[in-house]
Amino acid sequence: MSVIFKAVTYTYLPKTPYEHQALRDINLTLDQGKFIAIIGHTGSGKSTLVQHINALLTPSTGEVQVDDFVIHANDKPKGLKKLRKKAGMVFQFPEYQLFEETVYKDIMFGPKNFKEDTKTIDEKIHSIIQLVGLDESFLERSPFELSGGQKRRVAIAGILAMEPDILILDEPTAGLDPRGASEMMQLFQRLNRLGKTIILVTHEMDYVLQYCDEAIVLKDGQVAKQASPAEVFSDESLLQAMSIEAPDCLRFAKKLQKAGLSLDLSLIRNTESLAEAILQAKGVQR
Amino acid sequence: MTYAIETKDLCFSYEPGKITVDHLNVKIKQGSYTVILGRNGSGKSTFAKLVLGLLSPESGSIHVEGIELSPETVYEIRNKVGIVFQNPDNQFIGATVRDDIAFGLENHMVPREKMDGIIEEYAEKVGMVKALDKEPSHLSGGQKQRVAIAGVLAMSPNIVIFDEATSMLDPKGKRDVKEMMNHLRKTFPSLTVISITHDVDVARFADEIIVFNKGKIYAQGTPEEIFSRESELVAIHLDVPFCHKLRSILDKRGISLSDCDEEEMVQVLCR
Amino acid sequence: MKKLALGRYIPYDTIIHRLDPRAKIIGLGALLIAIFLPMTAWGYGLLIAFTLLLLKLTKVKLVSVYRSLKPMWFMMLFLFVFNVLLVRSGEILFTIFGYSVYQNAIIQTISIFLRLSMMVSITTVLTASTKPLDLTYGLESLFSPLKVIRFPAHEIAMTISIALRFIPTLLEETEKIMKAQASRGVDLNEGKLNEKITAIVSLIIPLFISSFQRSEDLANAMEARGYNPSGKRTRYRLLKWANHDTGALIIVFLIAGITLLFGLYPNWLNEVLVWLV
Repeated sequence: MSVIFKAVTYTYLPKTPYEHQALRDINLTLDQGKFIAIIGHTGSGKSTLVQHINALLTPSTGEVQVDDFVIHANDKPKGLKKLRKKAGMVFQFPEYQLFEETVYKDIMFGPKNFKEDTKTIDEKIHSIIQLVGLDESFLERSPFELSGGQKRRVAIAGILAMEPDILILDEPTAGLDPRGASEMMQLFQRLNRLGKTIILVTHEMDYVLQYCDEAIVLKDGQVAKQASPAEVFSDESLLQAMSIEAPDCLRFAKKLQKAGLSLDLSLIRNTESLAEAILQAKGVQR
Repeated sequence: MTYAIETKDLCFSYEPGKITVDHLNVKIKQGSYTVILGRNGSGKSTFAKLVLGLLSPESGSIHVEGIELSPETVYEIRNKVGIVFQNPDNQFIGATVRDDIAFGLENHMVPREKMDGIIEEYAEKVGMVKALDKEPSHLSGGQKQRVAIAGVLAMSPNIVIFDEATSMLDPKGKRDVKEMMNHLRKTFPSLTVISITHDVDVARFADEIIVFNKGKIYAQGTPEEIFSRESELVAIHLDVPFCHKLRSILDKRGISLSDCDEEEMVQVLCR
Repeated sequence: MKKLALGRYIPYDTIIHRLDPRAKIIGLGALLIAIFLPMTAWGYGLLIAFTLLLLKLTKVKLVSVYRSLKPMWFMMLFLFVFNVLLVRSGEILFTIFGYSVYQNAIIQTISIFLRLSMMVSITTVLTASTKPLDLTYGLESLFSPLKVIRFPAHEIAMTISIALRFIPTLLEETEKIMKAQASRGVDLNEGKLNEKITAIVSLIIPLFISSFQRSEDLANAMEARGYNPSGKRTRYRLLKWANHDTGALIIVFLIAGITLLFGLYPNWLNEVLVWLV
């Protein structure tokens, strides 16, 4: 279930005064089962890129391959609908897409559209609702009486119910408080460990460092770098050019390094591991 | 002493049986920079709306600069308190930046001849002079928030409340607005600034932090005092800034760092 | 949508663009009345010439007006058949399959077509040369005397101006929701009727909910900034009536008046000329 981009370009509103080339010559492979971050400034093409994975957009030139599907330039959406089941997309502030009378019905909306056997899904709903951190008492409630954070979990459950192999998430922690955000990221980590490919479009560099196997940096519609988060955050010139701030723990670690402390930066993924590295470097016994 | 904002036993519920603001006794000093920190649902935004008279309390009182909030005084109080809300689009009323800043001036019966001067002055202060004739659909979230700030400042308020003003913005937008907030405090030292948020990085620079939980004040103190209570904050769904977190972990393992100043910490650790 | 002239503002800088919106609204009203009252050939000639002049001045292309009329061609055809069948006065023009087509049938159809075309053209002149917001302010100003009978001209104008400002925002939001639901398998092209209905519901309900939230937020923001709908406010955007507006209105009233005269007293021009000479 890898995703391969071959010489993909995408132009919005071609042949009008508003023409804008959002993607230029993208050649990219997103390996199955990885937890991949897509980072870049607003307008760098991140949303445009990921919308090709579930065929909401088709390339202007080039082709996109998702498992057995090949999407050619300017293909019509017919037949691509199946792709939307394999690659589930959760947009920013997904709580706005809820509309059904009950949480149960809303979660079932996706599977029903793909003509799934409702009995099978019904059996799975119970595990899905718990996976997102809610319990069965929510199923018969109206989505509109829930809090923002709860609504968001229902929206995500609705996508998980379609059993996608790839999960694309656009800023899933936007607006959540610290606990809500970390619970959400841990959910994605669990899903990744269960075998799903996770593609995370985000500005939260702390999460990129802590959770992701790989980071793809987009700049002006092109891939500026594809490497492990540690490598990306050690590329000073890139960070400067893109006005990206490295996570605090790495930033501080570099200061320590400069001041003479020997640290292995590749081991640092968050504040806890930074502390460990400092303790090791100072020879403090466990 | 007259506080900028003082509430006594303030109570409010959105639904019967579920209390959102619970006997709140808040005292915010004039001229200070106060951060109200709390998880989603802790009652902090509700508090802001109550102060502006957008919601009516069930019981208790609110005093703004010594004046009690009531149907008779609400317009006077809205003159003194400006608020920048969370959603950049849902507070942008005018067809262009100019018109939006003018909206508040129109409400306050500012004479037409004076409007252009004021609009340009405050657009300059927030760096949006070149965009005066732009429509909101051509502005980024951060730019819209800057326009909102200009609109609020043009009313010369004594108190400005930022209600989660950066939570819907991208990093650049967040930086812009945070810079603007710092700039405000330097340019208008007597202005009382209140920032409502769950972003602990913003809270580090406050004079005082008031921690809300379940509609009550959980704790109140300086950033140093508040952030040294890490486990409590985590238990109420909050977090502490990087520096404090690192210090707390190292402390438990035997390395003591007194100050949360990064340069100092580097020095101590590298000895 | 882009090619349809009717309803769209096109930002040129012509004399017509510079006129006060109130002058344009009143002018439109006067001309519409003239168009729909009895007319003679002279009247048509005058009005058509004036309409073409206005179109030229506003830089509206005839092609766009034609495109605006295209949706009506079916109705015109129907009208034509209707008239041919029912109007049996005047001379017989020709005979098809033993059926006589009378002169007045053709004349009636053509006259309705011309009137409609002029109506569409002049309305297009208004909308092409006036920003929707200015149109709103113009209407507000014209309706403000009605305050005495408690007609809420200002509130309505404020509501419309805010709605206009949110059109691009709402379009963006609609697109977002469509994509979100498409990602859940919504396909408006396929499916049975009830599936399509659910699909549309999945778009409309989120839009409604977000609009309600938006209205509440806006109301709070407006109140917090001191808005008092029934209170006094000064105005930033003012409409200034100039001499050229008076001049334009005089011209329009003259044209409308003369046309009306032709309609009521078809021979008035002859009589005046005779009297002069």
